[in-house]
Amino acid sequence: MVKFAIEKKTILGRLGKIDTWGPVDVNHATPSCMTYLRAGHIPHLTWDVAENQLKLSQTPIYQMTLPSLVSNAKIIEKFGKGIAKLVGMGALESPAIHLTPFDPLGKLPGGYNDSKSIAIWTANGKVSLDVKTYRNIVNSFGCGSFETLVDYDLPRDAGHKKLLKAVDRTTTFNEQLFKQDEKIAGDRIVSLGGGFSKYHRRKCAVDIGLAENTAAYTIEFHEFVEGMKTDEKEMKELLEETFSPLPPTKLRCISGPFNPKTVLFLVQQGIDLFDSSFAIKLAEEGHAFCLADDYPTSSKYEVVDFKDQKFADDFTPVFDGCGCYTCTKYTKGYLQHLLNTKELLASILLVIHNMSEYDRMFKLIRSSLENSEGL
Amino acid sequence: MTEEPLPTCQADMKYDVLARAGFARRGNLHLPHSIVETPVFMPVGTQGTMKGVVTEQLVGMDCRILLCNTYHLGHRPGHERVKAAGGIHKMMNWNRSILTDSGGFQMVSLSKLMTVDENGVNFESPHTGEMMALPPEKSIEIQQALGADIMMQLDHVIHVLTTGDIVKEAMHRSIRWLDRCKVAHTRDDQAMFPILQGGLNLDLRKECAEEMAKRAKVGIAIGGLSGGEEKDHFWRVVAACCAALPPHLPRYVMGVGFPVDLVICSFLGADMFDCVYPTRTARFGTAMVRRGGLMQLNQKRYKEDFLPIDDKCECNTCKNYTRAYIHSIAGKETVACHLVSIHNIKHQLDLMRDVRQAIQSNSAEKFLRQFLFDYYGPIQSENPSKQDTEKVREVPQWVRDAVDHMGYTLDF
Repeated sequence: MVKFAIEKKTILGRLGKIDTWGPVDVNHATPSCMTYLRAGHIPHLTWDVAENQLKLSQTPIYQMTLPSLVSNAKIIEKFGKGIAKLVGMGALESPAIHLTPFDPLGKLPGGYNDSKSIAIWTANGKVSLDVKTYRNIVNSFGCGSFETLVDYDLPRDAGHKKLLKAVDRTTTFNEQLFKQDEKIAGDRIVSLGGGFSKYHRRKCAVDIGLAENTAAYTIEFHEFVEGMKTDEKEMKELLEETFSPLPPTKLRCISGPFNPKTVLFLVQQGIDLFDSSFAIKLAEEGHAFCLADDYPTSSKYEVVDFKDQKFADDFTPVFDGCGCYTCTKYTKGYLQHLLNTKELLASILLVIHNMSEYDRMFKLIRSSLENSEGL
Repeated sequence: MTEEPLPTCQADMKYDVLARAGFARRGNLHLPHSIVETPVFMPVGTQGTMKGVVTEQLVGMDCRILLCNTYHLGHRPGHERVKAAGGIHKMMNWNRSILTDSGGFQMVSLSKLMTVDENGVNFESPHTGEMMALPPEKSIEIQQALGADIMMQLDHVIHVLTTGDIVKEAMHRSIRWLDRCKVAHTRDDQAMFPILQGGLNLDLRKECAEEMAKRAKVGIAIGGLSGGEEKDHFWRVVAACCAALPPHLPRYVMGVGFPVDLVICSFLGADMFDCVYPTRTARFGTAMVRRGGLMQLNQKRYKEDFLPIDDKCECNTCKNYTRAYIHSIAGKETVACHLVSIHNIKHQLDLMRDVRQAIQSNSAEKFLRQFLFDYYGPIQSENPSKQDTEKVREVPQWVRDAVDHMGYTLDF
C-alpha cells in the first residue's frame, strides 16, 4: 500500500513521508521525485551502472513508463515473472515501482482518443489502449502501483462539449477498470484531468477522486511541462480546483519534465511527488544543469552545453563541488571531447550528473521546508 | 592482482613465462599500471572511452589492459590536450594499463590520399582536408604525450596482399623507422614495441624478426595481418613469426579478435591481441557466444526467447537479462548496445582466461577440441531443432591444418 503522511505544512509547500510503496518499505521523504524509466531503464544506464555509480539520497520509487514496453505486452505476459525481472531489475533488492501509461518525454498529439481507448505513442506509432488491455498489462507487469487511464486530449481551445466528453470518458475508464468482478493488482493512483477548465478540473476530481481504495492522485498536466507556454496564476487556479474537493492527506503526484523553478512553484501548490524526466530530457539534449548556490532561496539554475569549444582545455571537474560520479571522476575537457565525438559515454555521464542534481534539488527543497514556519 | 610493486622503468617491465603447452605460453607481463596475464585480449577504446561502458565495469570484469587509437586521439581532443589532462589514464578514469598504436594503420585505412616516403607517412586529414606528415618521431612524440604503458613504433604498413619488392622495402623501412622511433623514445616509463612486417613471405618475416628482436626491450608485435588475407596464410605467418622470436618477448598479433583466431594464435605461441570487433558488433545487436559463435539478437527467433545470451556466462547481462528483452530494445535504446558490449567484452576476457587455464593445467588439446566443437556447433536453445542436434561441425581446413601443426588431433 502507498502509505503516506504529511509531516508539516508551510506556505512554501508540504513535507511528507512515504513509508511504503506497494509491498516495499521506502521511507521516502517528500517533496521528491520518482525515477523516470524508459524501456525499464534509467535511459542510457544499465542497471549495474545505475546501482553502482548513481547515488541517490533516498530509496527510489521507479516510474515504469508504458509506451516503450507496450508493443511487447503479450511477451511480458508470457514471461510470467513481471516487468521488473524482464527489464533487468532482478538484481535490485525489491524495487518500488509505479506504472504509468504515459512517457513524460514522449509525444501526445491530439485527436486520437475515443470512447473506448486512449492513444499512447511508441517508436513504431500509435497504440490504442483500452481498459481490458490495460488491466491485463497492469496485472502481468506486477508493479506496486499503477495509474488510471485519463483522456488527456484537452488543448487550451477545447470547447465545453469536448471537455465534458473527456471527463466522462475518464470516469467511464475508471468504472470499467475497477469493475467488481475483475481483479486488478497494485495500488491505485487516480489520474485527474480537466485540461485548462477550472470547472472540469473540479468535476473530474469529484467524479473519480473520491472513490474508495484510492492510494494517491496524479494530476494530468502535460500541457504545462518544460517548453510549453505556461502561466503560474492559471496553474495555481487549476490545481486549487482539483484539490479542493479531495481529502488533503493523500499523496499528490505530477508527471513530466519540470525545471527547478517550476518545481518550486508546484511544491508551493501542494505537489509531493514529481518524476526525474527533466534530468533525462536535458541530458538527451546534451546539456547538464546546476542549481544556483542559494537555491531554493533563489529559483535560479544554470544549463551548460559542454559541447562548447571553450571547455576543451579545461580539465577541472565537470561541476566543482558536486559529489556525483561524473563530477568526481571526469573533467569538463573530457566531457567536451565525448560530446564532440558523439561517444555513448557522454549520455551516461550527463544522465548521472543531472539525476544527482535533480535529487539534490529535492533535498534542498525539503530542508528549506523544514526550516520554514509551519502553518 | 599480486602485491608486487609495478615497474616504473623499461628495465623492470619484465615478461615471465609461467607455463607452456606446446607452442603456447602462459605468462605475466609487468607494466606500470598492471600485471597483464597472457595470452590476453585487449578491448579497444578508440577515442579514449570504451563505447558505452564505464571503466569501473571493465575493472569488474578484471580487464587489465585496453587499447586506444593514437590517430583518433591525436585529432580529437589532440595529444597536447590529453597531456594537459594529465595523460590518457587520468583523462579517461582508467588506472590500469593502456596500449596506443602508432597511428599509421588508421592513416592507411581512413585517408583517401596517403603516400609513404623515407621521411614518414603523408596523408590527407579527413577532418581538415590538408596534407599532413607523420614521421616516426612525430608518432612517438604524440604517444609520449598520451602516456600509455605500451607505445607502438610507426611501421610502413602495406596491404597484406601486396607482392613484389615493395614488401621487402617496407620491411626494411620499418626497421629503419624503428631505429628512429627508439631515438625519439625518451620516456622510460613507457615501453615501445617494434612491429614485424614482411607480408606473407615467411623468409622476410624471419629476417625481420631477427633484426627487430635485437632492438626490442619489452615486447614485439606481428603486424600487417588481418587485412583480408587467406586464413591459411594468416596462421602460417603467425606460427613462423612466433617460432622466430625469442621467448622473453611477449608477441602481440595486431587486429585479431575473432574467437577462433584468438584460440589458434594463442596455441601457436602468440600472447597479445586486440580488436574492435566485440564492441562494434555489439552495437549492431550481435552477441558473441561460445556455443554457435554469433547470435544476432535482432532476429525474430529471439522475440520470445527467455534464455540469457549464454547461460554459462557470468557477465551482468547474462545474469539479469533475457534474449527476448534485448531483442525488444535493440536499435531503440543505447542500453541495448551497452548490455551486448559488456557481454562481448566479458566473452573475450573469459575465453582468454580459459585459454590461460588450459595452458597452465596442460590441457590445451582437450580445451581446443571442446572449444571448436562448441564454436562450430549450434546456438544453445530451449528446444533444439533436429537440425541443431544433428549439426555436423564444419571446422575449416585452415583450423585443422593449424591444429595438426600444433601436434593435436580433432576427433570430429
